[in-house]
Formats: sequence, structure tokens, C-alpha cells
Amino acid sequence: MVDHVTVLIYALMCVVVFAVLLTTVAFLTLAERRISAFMQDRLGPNRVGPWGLLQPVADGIKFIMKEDIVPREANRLLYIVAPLMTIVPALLTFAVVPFGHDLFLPGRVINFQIANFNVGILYIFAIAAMGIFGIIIGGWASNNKYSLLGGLRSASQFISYEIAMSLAVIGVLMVYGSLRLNNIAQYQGSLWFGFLPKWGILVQPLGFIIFIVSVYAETNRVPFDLPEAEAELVGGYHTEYSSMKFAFFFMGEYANMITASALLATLYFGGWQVPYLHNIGFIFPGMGMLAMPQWLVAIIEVLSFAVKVGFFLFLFLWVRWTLPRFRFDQLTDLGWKVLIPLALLNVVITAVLIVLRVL
Amino acid sequence: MSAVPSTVHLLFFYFFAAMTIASALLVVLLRNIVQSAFALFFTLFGVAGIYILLGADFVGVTQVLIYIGGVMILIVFGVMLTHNSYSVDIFNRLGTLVMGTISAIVTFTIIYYAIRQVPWRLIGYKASIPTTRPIGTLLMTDYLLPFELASVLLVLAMVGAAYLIRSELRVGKERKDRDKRGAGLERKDA
Repeated sequence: MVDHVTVLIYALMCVVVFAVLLTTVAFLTLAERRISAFMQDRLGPNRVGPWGLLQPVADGIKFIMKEDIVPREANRLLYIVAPLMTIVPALLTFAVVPFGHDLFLPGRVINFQIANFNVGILYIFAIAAMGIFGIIIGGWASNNKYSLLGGLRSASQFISYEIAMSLAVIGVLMVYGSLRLNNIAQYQGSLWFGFLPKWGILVQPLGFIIFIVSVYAETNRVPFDLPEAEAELVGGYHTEYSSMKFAFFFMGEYANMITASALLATLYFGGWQVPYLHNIGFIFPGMGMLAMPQWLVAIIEVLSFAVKVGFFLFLFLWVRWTLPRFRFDQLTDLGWKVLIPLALLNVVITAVLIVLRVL
Repeated sequence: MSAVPSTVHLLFFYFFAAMTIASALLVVLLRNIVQSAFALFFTLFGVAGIYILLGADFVGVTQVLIYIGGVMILIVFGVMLTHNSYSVDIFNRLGTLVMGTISAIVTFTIIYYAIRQVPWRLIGYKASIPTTRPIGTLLMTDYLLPFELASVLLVLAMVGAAYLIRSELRVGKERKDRDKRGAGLERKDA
């Protein structure tokens, strides 16, 4: 039976998660510019507020004040709907990401997760697939050949890498035996050979490499940002977009990066797990334990999740400002001829190891 | 676990049902093929919503993943790459309209009677029970043969597609070789 307090708690959690997500998107744009500046020995935007921290606010105001142009020859309805179709799925995917251990309060259990959906990982893939539709429709509706090319590139890239990504995740699912992200995170707390935490990166190293490469392609980030290769396509699928509509595409991309980082952390780096930290405190195998109250454990776990996601977000930026862009044929070759066979190999190896009871 | 759905449940059902039917009508009635494809997106999404309301979470999510994430993108891709296909007026002529109406009525009748014939077993409205494990077990035991046959069919389709493209590449290459040999000749003619 659902009681009203629980509903209230989850409603509050929705608001908080949504606010945190959007704030992170805003500051990620600042981080991107500042970090890229430091990598290139520049300063970056540092004038608005202390260390440029108010820059996202200034950007937001500017986006809203800009003139909103709809090209005359564009398909008006689809042109307007496309940015929404990108940002809504991008924000929806985060709903199933767990960011802490279940909290046992007197009388009720609170998941640190908005929806503990039974097929969580599939839900993320499905909703992310809807997001790509917005990019294609936007590229087409602009009635501009560069936009169309950007949209088409995005579609073919997405389809190629979706297969490799799903196959890489199958390895994880075989090891942990659940599609529920919360369970996957939980099982990574168990120990391997009695002392190693059973994190995804240790049991699925090949899968991790395939997954991270595919995720970079899926989120259209460098070195796979061909849908918006400015040197070839002017601006890519959003060439014609201005004002808030452009901002929606932009925010969608960053929100996808956050979900991708959260997924990387959850599937391969234990999610909210801290090695040897259990519900009652640290338990070191063979070396005694350190008791802790439940609230402290919860705070540490949420922080641990935030640190992991933060690291992967930084990795996204780091890669972007370090690596050059792929050529399109190289991109499809990598997806179809390298990653998919490797992912299949990973599935076979995982199956053999499970049968041999190593995993 | 009552036998009657809750009000929220019903509201969601009507929402998704209305979405499915309205967008399906748009798919048929719109004159622009890309807009039709866009409406189809909502049809498939509405059907996925109904699956999830029925407790078939895996089927619902797979519906979105395969149909919207795969089939829809390929349809849109094909439409966009076909030269000017999106400016062609595709609305049906009267003859096809009549044929279409007849086949629609026939299909509807068949489905209606099929639904009436089946002795449905009502299990009541339960909060979502995980369906992935039973589906996986059934696919690997009772339904192993159909499952494997389906994969054979898919492999056949893939090999066929690859073969078709290969032969086109071969023809293209031959034509290029011939053009190269005949290049000097053609230039003289011109």
C-alpha cells in the first residue's frame, strides 16, 4: 500500500534530482569552457561572478533574450517540436539511476532512486533512442542541407553504436543477473576471492572499454562528434536553430553526458558503493570493522556516486580537448568491424567464465 | 491487487489509448510522409505505454527500443535519403481508398472475433511483477525452437541484404571500369 508520506518523499526527490540535474548541466557548460581553457593555456570565461561562476546564469539570460528565428522554408511544426524531443528524453533517462543504498526508516524503505524500474537499463536505452529522433527531425525540419547531413550522420552513428553498447552491457547483466540498476549497483558490493570488490571494471574490463567508446559515440562527443562537425557541416543538425531552441539541443547533449557518466559509474564502478562500506559501516575482511550510523553511510554513498559521476564528466571534457575527430568511414568501421565483434567475444568469454564459476 | 483498476490506472490507459488512435489516424491522413513518420512515433509510444500498464514492462520497453530506436529511425532515414520523397503528395486515390476501407473492415472483424473467441483469464491488477526472468526461462526452454528459428530468419535477412549490396557494388565497379576504358572514346564522341 502506498502511503502519502512516501509519495511526498518521492515527489520531493523528483524535484531535487531534477534541480541537481539542470544545475549540473548549467555548470557543466561552464566547466567545459574553463577546463578547455586551462588545457589550452588560456583563462576562459572568468568575468561574471567569482571565477566566472555566474557565467551559466548570464548565458541563460542571453539565450532567452535572443531573437527566435524560424526559417521560412522550414517545416514549422517539426522545427519547433524537435528540440523538445531531444531534451525531454535526456532529462527522463536519469529517473532510474540509483544514487544511494536503500534507506531503512521506521515503517518504510526509501530507495535513493526515483523509479526502481524492473528493466531499468533497457529503459535508459529506449528513452535515449527517442532522443536521437529529435536530432534527426530537427535536422530535416530545418530544410538546410548541412542540418540534414548532421541529422543523418547522427542516425547512422546511433544505430551502429547502439548494438555495440547493448552487447557490452549484456556481459554486465550476465555477471550480476539483473536488469535493475539498483541491484546491479548492490551486487558490486560483494567481494571477489574474499577481498576484491566485485566492480564491473574488474569483472568486465573489455566490456567497459567497448561501453565507454560506444557511449562517447552515442552522446555525439569528440572524437565522434560528426553530427556537429563544424568544419564540415557549419554547425550540424542545429545550424538553423537560435535562442532557447538551440539551448535545448545543447542542454540535451549535456544532460545525456550526465546520464552516460552515471551509467558508467553504476555499471562499472560500483555506483554508489564504497569498497567495504556496508549499511552498518566499514567491514574490512579479516581486519575488523568500523561502525557508522545509517545517515552517515547514506551521505558517504551519495558523495561517492557524485565523485564517480564527476570524474566521468571530467573524462568527457578531457577527451574532447585532447583527441582529434574521426573521419566518418573510420567511425563506422570502428563500430561495425571492431567493437561489435569484440563485444560478442566479451559475451562468449563471460559465459565461459560463469560456467567455470570464476565470476 | 484488486480486480478493479484504480482511477489513475484508467486515466493513463485512456491517455495512451487516445494517443495511439489519434496518432495512428494522423499517420494515415497526413499528406507529408515525414510528418506521417513523426506521427507513427507517437503511435508506437502509446502502444508501449499500454504494454506497461498491462504489466508487460519488458515488452513495453523493448517496443520503444526496437520500434522507435531502430525501425523508426531506419524509416525516417530511408525517407530522407530518397530524393524528394518528402515533397511527393502521397494521399490515396479513390480506388485505393475503397480497397483500403474494405481491407480495414475485414481486418478489424477478424481481430474482433479472435478477441471474442479467446477465453481470457483475468488475473486482476497487480503492481508490476518482474517479467524478465520468466520470459528468459521460457525462451530458453519451452520456446527454444521458435526463438532459434527467428534468429535464423534474421541471419537470412542480414545475409540477403549484404548480398544485394555486394552485387550492387560489383555492378558499380564494373561500370566504373568500363567508363575508365571507354573514357577517351566518349570524349571524342562528345
